[in-house]
This record gives sequence, structure tokens and C-alpha cells, in this order.
Amino acid sequence: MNKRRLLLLAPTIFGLCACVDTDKVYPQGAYLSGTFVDHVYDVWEGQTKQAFQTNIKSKVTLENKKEGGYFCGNGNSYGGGTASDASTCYGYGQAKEWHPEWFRNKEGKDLVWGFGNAGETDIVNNGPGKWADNSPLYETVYSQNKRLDRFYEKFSRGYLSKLYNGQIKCNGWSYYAMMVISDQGFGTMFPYELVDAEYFGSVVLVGTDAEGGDKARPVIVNIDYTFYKYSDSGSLEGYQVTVKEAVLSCNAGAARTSLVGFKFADAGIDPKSIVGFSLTYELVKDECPNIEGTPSSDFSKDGYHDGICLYELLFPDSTWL
Amino acid sequence: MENKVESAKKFTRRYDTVFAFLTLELVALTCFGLGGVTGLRIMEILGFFISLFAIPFLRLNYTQEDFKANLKVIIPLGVLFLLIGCSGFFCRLYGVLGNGSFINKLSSIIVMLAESIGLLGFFLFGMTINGNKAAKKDFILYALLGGLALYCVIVGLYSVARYGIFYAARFNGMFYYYKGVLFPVSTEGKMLLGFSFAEVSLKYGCIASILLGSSGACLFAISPKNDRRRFAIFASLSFIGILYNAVIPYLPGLVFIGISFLFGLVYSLIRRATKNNEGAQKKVRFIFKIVWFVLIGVAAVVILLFLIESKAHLISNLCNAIFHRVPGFVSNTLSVADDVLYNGAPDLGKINLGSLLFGYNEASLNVHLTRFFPLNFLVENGLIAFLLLVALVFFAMRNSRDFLARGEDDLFFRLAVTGMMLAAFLYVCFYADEIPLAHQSTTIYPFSQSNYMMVLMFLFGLSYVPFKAKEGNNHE
Repeated sequence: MNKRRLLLLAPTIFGLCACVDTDKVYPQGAYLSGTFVDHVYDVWEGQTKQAFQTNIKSKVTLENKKEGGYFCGNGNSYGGGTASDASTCYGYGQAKEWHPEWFRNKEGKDLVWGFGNAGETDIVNNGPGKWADNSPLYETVYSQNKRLDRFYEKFSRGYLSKLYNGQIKCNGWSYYAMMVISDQGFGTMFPYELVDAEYFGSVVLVGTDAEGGDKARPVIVNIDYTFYKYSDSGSLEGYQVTVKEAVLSCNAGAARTSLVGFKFADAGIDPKSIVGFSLTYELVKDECPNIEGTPSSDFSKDGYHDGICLYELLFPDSTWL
Repeated sequence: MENKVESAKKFTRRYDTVFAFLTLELVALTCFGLGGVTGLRIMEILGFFISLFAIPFLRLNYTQEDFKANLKVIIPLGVLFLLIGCSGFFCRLYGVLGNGSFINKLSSIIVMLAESIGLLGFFLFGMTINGNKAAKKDFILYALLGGLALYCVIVGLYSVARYGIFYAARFNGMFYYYKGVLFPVSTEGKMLLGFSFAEVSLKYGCIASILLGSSGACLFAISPKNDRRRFAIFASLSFIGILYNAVIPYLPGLVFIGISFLFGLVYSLIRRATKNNEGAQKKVRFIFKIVWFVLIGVAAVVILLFLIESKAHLISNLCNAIFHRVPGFVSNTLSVADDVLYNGAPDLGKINLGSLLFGYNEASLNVHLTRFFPLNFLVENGLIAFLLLVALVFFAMRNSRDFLARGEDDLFFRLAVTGMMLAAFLYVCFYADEIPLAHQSTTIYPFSQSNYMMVLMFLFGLSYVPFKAKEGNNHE
């Protein structure tokens, strides 16, 4: 009798508990609110928060320069522009100028940023939130060529899958396209372990709800990218890279994203065994017109806010296990 | 002539077991959906060539005159199959029309023809396996239901492991992210596509389980006391189909399985009540005839009105008014009429004859596919195929009546076949989904070109009551 009960109970428990596809589900409209402050993502997965607060093994600060520094926007696919010019402090100009070999497809042809020139697009757009087959863009658009979920299926799942799908601007998708990060930051554990990668890239801009925020302007931020590995004792330990005074475009319309990143060798990090990641930042300067003072990145406070909008995390041409 | 019959007899005596085995094997694999779309094409081609071995069997069962008498069914059926495989819509979709290399076009033509000859092959399988003494009725059902059951068990277990049980109810209104896009959990299931699993709409994903579950109509013709083993086997197989729908839970699936059970119950009750009572039997046949003619009349009027649909869009508005309570049902009738009659450009005001007769010949996703299979069929395959399908449905109704009325032997088999056909066809009339793959919302996966259509044609072949030239019309 007991055995029979067990036989019946086992599949029931199995069915109720096992739910790989339903462990991360959201009610309709979650993270899609039209209100900027309601859209903040500040989840720290696993032990990332604890490791971030107590176990940072190394800290490196990089400056915006070609040799041993970080790259940040500054011009789009047609190049040019200066960091202080709001109309051009976005795109992938610096990275492409400094490392042109990263921006070629397997046939040696140039990959485009996906917007800037007429007719270019970063995704096949079937309408906001609609799935589309983006494979026609794989050999022409940089982010589509390098997107992680193209090569590693598990990056396709979960809310953070939007960080691995090659979409680097809004395209009318609004909050579907990005994550808004407050000064609390966020942390994630990757579904795989990194084996090898030459460089890291993030596609970001600063979004705002400040009055007059629709006027594009440069905003300066210090961004902390922290990578996590397991220590010998089994706990997570962090390797932090701060990009100092990155100039990002800020616009309530939110479409001018920048490619910000660095070579792991320049940051003195061995990328092997990276299993987690977190992003925090500090707002340094935002001279927003039409308002007094600076908007805050503390979203718990009333008033105007600036938040980093994260579109994509890139470990181009990397190997994961 | 006698020599031919003699040689046919020799052939069938020697090869009946082999032929039965090959047929049932292929049917079981098709029910299972082995190999996905590519596998299906292979089954279709294999099915056609193996069905050529059916010719000696047909020779034994049919005289030349009999065969001629049955041509009035077989020829229109052949035309229908040809139009299912090779309509204007599919010619455009597979790249036969328009630009493209000769090799690509040739391979597309082969794929389309495979569909047509495959349907014919499976119909012939059904026709001939009935007369093959090596294939017992139980074995035929084991092959059919075994393939479906294996599919349901594998996909069902995987689905439970991925979503948990009762997920459609537990996560109703909840969404998950895939590649940055939101997808609803409660309308999605799993499907075995080739040798991997794919996310599919529940509407499409549950067809196999509905076919399997609805076979339970046969239980009303099996005595659980006297024939316990048979009852247990078919009850278990049907139960797998029901369970598959229950653990989701998918209510429409359970409803259509219920319809099949209801049909089995009502039929067996009527049969019992009219047993040895010719007067009552005649009355039942008369009522059936009346209902049948009324349905034909209704269908004719609806089709006629649909065809004379002018810019006033009378029918469309009427349909939408009637069915507005069922979300999505025939809501695109207006657009379907425009697609078929005007090839999607009603403003030009000219009826596009090519599109009307052979299917909407713009293979674009802008085609207005609905939840109503016959309307989708009209868009994809054109008016000729549509009218042939309607004729086939009404013929199948009358044919099924005669099939069911064939004596007392093997009634369970006939109820299972009829119940499955009834439930599956009614289901796709209300819950068709031509673009079922959740994560590939640009891939058309037409029901008429699916393995389920093959199964339906096999079932129709099984139920086919041939015309006899000498004894007059077998179908009264």
C-alpha cells in the first residue's frame, strides 16, 4: 500500500516541483510599465550581492584611452564626433577605430552598428515584443553577430535574455528592449562558465525622467563591472573593473546607446572560470537643462532620476562551458 | 483476367504479412511524428511506394467493374490531394513561383508532390489493410494508437518536467522571457519536432492526444466483463490521451474527447434500442438522411453567400456578429474573403481567378489565417480544393454511417476509427493553428500538410465502404 502511494506521490511532487520553464515567470506588464521608476531591475542572483559587498578580490580603474584603457561610444558607424557632443557620444566608434579586427565577419567584411546610417537596423522588427528571425542579420550587424544566445541556448531564457539577444536600441519596443538599473545595481549568475574571451562589451545609455530630458545631452558616469568566479573554498569572489568617467548619451527617448568595454588583459583579469556578473554605477555629472540640480540615480527618492539603461552584454567570440 | 486474379492471390498469400507489417509500421511512425517535417516527407514517399504493393490486394477485393464504380470517389480524392500538396499558396511558399534556382524549384516540386502522393498512399493503406487477413483489427489500432501514445507519453513527461502539472491553470496570465520577448505560459505546450522538442501552441500540440483520447469511443462496444483484456488495453491507451490534456489542463481537448465518447455512447444506445427492429432502424436512417441533407443545404448556402460576398461584406459581418463571443473565431472572415476573392487587394474590385481557384498566391504571413481549418484551407488551397473537401466531409459522414452499420463484428474498431475522425476534424474546425511554433512565429505549419492529415486519410481509408458495381450502390 505504501509503495503504491509512493508511486502516485512521486510524479505529483515531480510535476509540481520540476518546472524549468516556469521558474521565472512574470505577470503581464511586469517590467513593461510606462513609468520610468517602476521599471528598475535590482535583483542580485545567488551570492552575487554578498560577494560584491564582502569579497572583492581585485579592483582596477580604467581610463578612456586606446592603450590599456576602456572604449566608450564616441561616434557611430560613420565615425567622428567628440565625447562632449551629445549627438555623437554614442555608437561604437572608439572600439572600431582601436580594434577594427573585432568588427569583421568571417568573410572579412565590416559589421555595422545597426543604426546611424539610413536603412540599417539592429534587429528584424516584427513590432514591439514580437519574435522575429534575426538570422539574416548575423553576418552584417555587430551585435547580431556576437549575441550570446546565438551560440549558447541557455542565454535565451529569463528576463535577462534581453541582454543577450542582439537588440541594442529601442526600435519602438520601449522597455521590452532594455533594463533600467538604479544605483542599487544588479547581479546575475551566468548559465555557463566562461572558458575564454578577449574582451567584454556592454551596450548602455542613460535614461531619465527629468523634465526636458528629451533633449539629448552627455552624462558622465563611473561604471563598476564586477565579474565573479568561485574561489577554492567554493564561495564567490569578485573582480571589479571601474570605467572612470564614461560619457554616455542621455535622452528620455533613449535610443543612442554606446558600446562600453575593455580587453580582459588590460583589466588584468583572466576571464577563465567567470560565472557571474554585476553592474553598479555612480552618476558623476548630468547638466540637465530646465531643472535645478542633478537628477538622482537613487530611485527610492522622489524627484528626477537618471538610470543606466542596459541593452546588451557582450563577450564576443567567447567560449563557454 | 483469371490469370491476373490468380497471380494476385498468390502475391497476397505470400506477402500479406509483410505488407501488413510495413503498413502498420509506417502508420505508427507517422502517428509518432518521427523525424519532424523531413521525416514526414520520407514517410509520404515511402507510403506511396509501399502502397503500390496494395494493387494486387485491390484486385482481389474489387472486380474491374467495382474498381470503375469507385473511381467516382478515387479521382476527386486524387485531385484533392494534388491541390493540397501543390496549391498556388504552397507554390509561392516553397519558391516554385517567382525567382529562384532550378534545383531549388525542383526540390520544392518534389516536396509538394510527396505531400500529394503521401496522402494517396495513406488512403490506400487504409483501404487495403481492411481486407488483409494478416492485419487483425486490434493490431491496426495498436499501431495507430501505439504511435500516438508513445508520442504523448514522451512529450507529456517532458512537458510536466518543464512546466509542472496544471501549469496552464497555475500560470494563467503569466509570461516568460525568451530571447528578450515575452511569451504566455498557459497557451503553450511542447512538441516533438524531429529529434528535439519545440514550444508549440496548445491548440496544435494537443491534436495527437485528442486523437488518442477519442479512440475511447470504442469502449462502448467492448464488454469489460467478457473481454477484459481488450477493454483494459484500449481504456489505458485512451486514458493516456485524456491524462495528457488533464495535467495541462487543456479544456478544449477534454471537450472534444468527450464528444467522441458521447458519440460512442449514443451510437451504441441507438444500436441496442433498434436491434432486430427494422422499422426503428429505418427511422434512424431517415433521420440521419434529413440531418445530412439539412447540413448540406446549410453548407451550400453559406458557401454561396461567401462567394457572392461583395463590398457590402454582409457575410463577414454576420459571421463576426454570430461568433463574436468566441475570441478569434472567424474574426478574420472579411479578410479571408478578400484574400481569396481579390488576392488581398479588394480595392481593385476585380476577382482574382487564380487566387480563387488555387489558393491565395502570395505566401506572405499577412494571409489571414484563422482558428477555423476549412477557412484556412480555402485560403491556402483555393476554392476547388475547398469544395472537394466539403464534398469529402459529407461523403465521409454518409460513409461512416455505412461503415458503422456493417454487422456486429469488430464494432469496437469501427467506433474507434469513427470517433477519432469525428473528434479530430471537429477540433481543427474550431482550434486550428497554422503558425503553431511559439518561438518561430514566421513558420507556417499547415494542418493539411501535417502528419495528422496523413492519419486522418488513413482513418478515412479504413472506414471506406466501397461501391459495388454488380450489387448496385452500397451507399444508400
